[in-house]
Amino acid sequence: MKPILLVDDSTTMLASLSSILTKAGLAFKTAAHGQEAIDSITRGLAPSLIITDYHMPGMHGVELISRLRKLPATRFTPMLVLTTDSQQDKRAAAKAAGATGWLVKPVDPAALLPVVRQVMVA
Amino acid sequence: MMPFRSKRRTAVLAALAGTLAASVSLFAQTPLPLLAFAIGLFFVAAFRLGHVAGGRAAWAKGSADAAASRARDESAGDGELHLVRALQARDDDAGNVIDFEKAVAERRGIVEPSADDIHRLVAQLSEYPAYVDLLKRHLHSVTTVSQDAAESLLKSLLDVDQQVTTLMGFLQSAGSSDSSERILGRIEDQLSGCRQHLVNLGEEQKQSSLDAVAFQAKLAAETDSVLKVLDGVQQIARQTTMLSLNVSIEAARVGDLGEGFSVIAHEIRSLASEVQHLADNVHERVSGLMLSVGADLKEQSQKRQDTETLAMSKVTDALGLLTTNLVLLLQHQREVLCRVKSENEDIAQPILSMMGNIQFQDIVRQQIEQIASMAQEVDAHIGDVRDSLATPATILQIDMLTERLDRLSSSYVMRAQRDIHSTVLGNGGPAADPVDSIELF
Repeated sequence: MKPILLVDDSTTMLASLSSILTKAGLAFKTAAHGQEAIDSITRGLAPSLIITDYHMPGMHGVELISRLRKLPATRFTPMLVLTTDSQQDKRAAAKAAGATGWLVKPVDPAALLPVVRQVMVA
Repeated sequence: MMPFRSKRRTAVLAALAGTLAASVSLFAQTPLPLLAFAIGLFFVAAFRLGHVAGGRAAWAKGSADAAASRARDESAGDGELHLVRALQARDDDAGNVIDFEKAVAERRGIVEPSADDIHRLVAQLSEYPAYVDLLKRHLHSVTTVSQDAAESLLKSLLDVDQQVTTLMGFLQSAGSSDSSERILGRIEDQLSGCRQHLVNLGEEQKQSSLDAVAFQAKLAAETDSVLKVLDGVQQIARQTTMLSLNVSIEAARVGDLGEGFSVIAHEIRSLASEVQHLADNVHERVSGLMLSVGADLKEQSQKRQDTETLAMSKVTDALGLLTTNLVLLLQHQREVLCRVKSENEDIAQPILSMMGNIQFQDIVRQQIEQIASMAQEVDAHIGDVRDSLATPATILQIDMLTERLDRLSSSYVMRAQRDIHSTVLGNGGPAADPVDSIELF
């Protein structure tokens, strides 16, 4: 099973999401910022799904999605933005950049896991 | 009318007071206990400022009130006019002319600050960056502590989840249906062996009965053979008696010469009679023995058969009962397993939910970062006010704090933050963001 790539500068968020995915029996990898995620992809990681934060130092989530869409390995990979930000214009920007969906923190695992299973590729 | 310098000072001080009031109001809307500290910090600063300036904090507030009241009076005209008329009436009575501005200021408890006061005030305002730095460090400490707490909580949660998973796995493994079926299968095999053993025992019992009957028949046959031999002995005895009688007759016929043969015939007849008697006796005893042995064998065989049949019946009933109890035990075990599985799911759900709830720390962290930015803006504004006190020509270049905070509000990411800002500063309603927390494009 291909892993899910989690991108967030918050260790708490990474720990929370990691434990949720582990309990659901889903494999995952983590990255603390956008560049680390891109480096992982270019080194050969082929995730089944990418879940990224929006507000991160260096590169925000939508920019990360925009850059990942240009990489052959992740051109068609589903990507979700998981953020505290609820602004409509940012949602629209994420959609335009190629995001698959927008999730607002805190997200209930009971609601997150069905979405993850729905969008992730085998 | 108040001189221009006095008006300017009053406006600056009013702005300073307004800064404090607006900051406190905005911070106070944020639901974090730490903000109590922030509010306290500003109040402490204001208190220190008031102390050193000899009541100039009260003066500043009074000036702000005075400026506001004056603006109101100038627009309405009634309040100030009423006061002037009252003073004029008093002057008329005393025959003196008074300084209206001074009189109004005195009446309102306003003391005009001196240049030294202003310098000291500037010096006090210069302390604010240190307070703001202190505030930011405390906010950072709160973030760190909350993050450590969240990670510790999550770790404990994972440990609990691991323990529960291990325990449930053990329970399910120990009491799994497969395991129970295997145990029950072995017991069933053992019970089948017992039943087969009982069947074999019954067959052996039947064979034993048949053997007893055969032995009885063989014994009867042997007895018959003995009786036939005895019949032959009796026949010989009878013939011997007849022969001895004939010898006696022949001996009598020859007279005295046959006397000896007569005695011998007599003795032979006596022996034959005794043999006949003994043979009859043996015949009678063998016949009686045969009947007795036959009856005993039959009785013992029947008795043993009845006993064993009864025992086997009891054992069979016990085995049936044992099987029934085992089936009940298996059914109970299955119910326990179902309950364990259900409880496992019931426990797993809140643990999973708590794992998600840990995300609150990230939200709090971002809110604290916004508060730190807000403190930074207030600090910058106070710096501008301080500089204006030192350089009055720059007063009109100072941005209003509301403008600064409005600019900051563009970086708000949460709907709650924008709602609070809008409620406190009243600059338009909250943005119409989507309500859905999950949206798939």
